[in-house]
Amino acid sequence: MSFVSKLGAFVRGLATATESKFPHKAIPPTYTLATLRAFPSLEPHAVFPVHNAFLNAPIRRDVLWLAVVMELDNRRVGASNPPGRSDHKFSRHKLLPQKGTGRARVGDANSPIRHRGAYALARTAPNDFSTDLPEKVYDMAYRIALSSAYKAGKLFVVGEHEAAGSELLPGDSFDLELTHSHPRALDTFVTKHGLGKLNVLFIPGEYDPEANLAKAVSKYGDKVRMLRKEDVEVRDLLKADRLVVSKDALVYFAAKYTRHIL
Amino acid sequence: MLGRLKPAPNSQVNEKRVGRGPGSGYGKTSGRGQKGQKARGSVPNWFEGGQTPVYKLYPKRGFIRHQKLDLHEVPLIKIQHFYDSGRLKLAPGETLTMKKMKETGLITGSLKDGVAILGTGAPAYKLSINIESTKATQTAIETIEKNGGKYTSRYFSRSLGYQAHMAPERFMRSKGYVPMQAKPIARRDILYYTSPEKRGYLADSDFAQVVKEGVTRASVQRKEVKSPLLKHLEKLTKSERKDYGINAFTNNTIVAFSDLKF
Repeated sequence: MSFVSKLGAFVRGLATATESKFPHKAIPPTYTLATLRAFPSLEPHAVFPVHNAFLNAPIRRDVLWLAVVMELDNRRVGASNPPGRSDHKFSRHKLLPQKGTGRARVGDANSPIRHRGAYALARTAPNDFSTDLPEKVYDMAYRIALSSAYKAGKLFVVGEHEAAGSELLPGDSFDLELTHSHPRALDTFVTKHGLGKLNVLFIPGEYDPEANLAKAVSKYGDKVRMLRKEDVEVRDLLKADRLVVSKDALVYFAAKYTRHIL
Repeated sequence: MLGRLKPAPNSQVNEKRVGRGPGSGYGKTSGRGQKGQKARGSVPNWFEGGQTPVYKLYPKRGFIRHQKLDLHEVPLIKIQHFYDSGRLKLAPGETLTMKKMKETGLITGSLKDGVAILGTGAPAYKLSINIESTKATQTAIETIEKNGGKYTSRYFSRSLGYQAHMAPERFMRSKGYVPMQAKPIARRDILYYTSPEKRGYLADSDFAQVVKEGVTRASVQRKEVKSPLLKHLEKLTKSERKDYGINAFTNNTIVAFSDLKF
C-alpha cells in the first residue's frame, strides 16, 4: 500500500444514498499536513497529507499512561531473590516449648512475623513482572504520542517528495544522514538548532551502525539518541524534545499502528 | 508530557491488604465481620447449610449436543455498515470469505467454529457480492441473491480445516504445507452441504449424486471363497472326459519295433 493511500487525503464519500439533514454542512478534513525537510538544515521542501487518525489524534494522557506503565513493567528484570522461611539462615530449632511458658506458641526464628525473619512472599529470580495491553490500545497510544509531538511542533520528517523538485542547501540531503564523518558535524547540528539542553531522537528508515550520523550519535552522549524504528517505544517518543524521523520510518509507523483502524 | 501522565479517573484500584493494622480499615477482623463460619473459614459454593441445595432438588432436564457448532453471527446489516464506512474493501469479483471477515474485523476475538450469516437488517442490505460461510439463514440467502450476489455454505472440519482456512500462513510457517480440506463425514453435515436449499458447496457435485442415489458396487463385487474340496469337485465336473484305458483296448493294432520311437 502506497504512502499516500495509507495516510492519504481521502475525504470519504458518504456511501449511503440517504439525504443528509444538513446538505451544506462543512465536512472537516480527514487529514493534516506534515512537512518534509532536508537534513541537517531541516529546511522545509514539501508538505504531504497524513491521516488525522495518525498524526492529529486527540491527546489522551490516560492511554499514554497505560502504554508507558506497561513498557516500564516489561523493562523490569526481576532480579530480587529474597529468602523464604525454608531458605533463611536460622536453625529449625523451636524457640520455646509448646506448653508451660505462659507465652504464645512459636516455631523457629525463620518465621516471617519475627524480627530478622524471612520474607513471607519469597521469590526466586528471574521474576516476571511484565504486563500486557491490548494491541489496539497500544497502537492508539503510539499514534497519540506521535500526534502530541506533531502538535507541539517537535516532529521533523526528513525525506523527499517525488513531485516537488527542490534545490538543496550546501551539505544538505534528503536522507537522515550527515555528509561529513567528522563528529563536530552533529555538534554543529545541535548548536545551530539550539538543542543543547534538549533530548533529540533520530529514527532512520534503515539503521546502519557505520553511518556518519549513527557513529556521531554514539559518541555524543545521552541527550542525543538514535533508535532502530522497530525498537522505538511510546516512552522514547514522549521523552524526546525533538523527533527527527525519516519519511520511511514514518510510513513504517503509519502502516504498523493504524492497521486496526484504517 | 511524560511527567504529566495519569490513569483515567477511577480506573485503578489498589490491592486490598487485610490484617495490616487498624489504619487500613481491614485490620482486626480483616473485613470478615464477627464470629461464624464465614469469619473463620469458607463456605463451599452453592452450599445451603445442609438443606437440599437447589441443584439437587429438581430432576435433570435436557441435554447438551457437544457437536453443536459455536458460530460467529454476522448480520447482513453489519456487512452493509462495514462497506459503507469503507472498512470492507473487496476486489471486483472477490468473495467475502470467513478469512476476509476476520481480516476486515467483521468477526473479532478468538476463533470459534465458523460464521453464520443472519438476515437481520435485510431491507437495508444493497450489496451485490458473493459470500461464503459455514451457514446462513434462509432470509440471508434470499436477500443476498435478490441483490445479485451469490451465497455458498462451505464445510470446514471443526478445528484443523477451519484453522487452515483462516490462517494458512501459520501452517506454511510451521509445517511447510497447508492441510487439505476434509469432506463432511457426519450424516448431518453431508445432508446440509449437499442440499441446494442451503446452497451447500457440494450440491452439484458427484458426491451429492452418490449420496442421493447410492452407487452400484460392480467394481467391488465380493469374491467367493471356495474350499479346496469344492474346487476339486468343480474341476472334476468341468473336465473333459478322457477315456485313456478303453481306447487302448478298442483301437489296438500291432506295432513293429522299428516304428516305435524312443
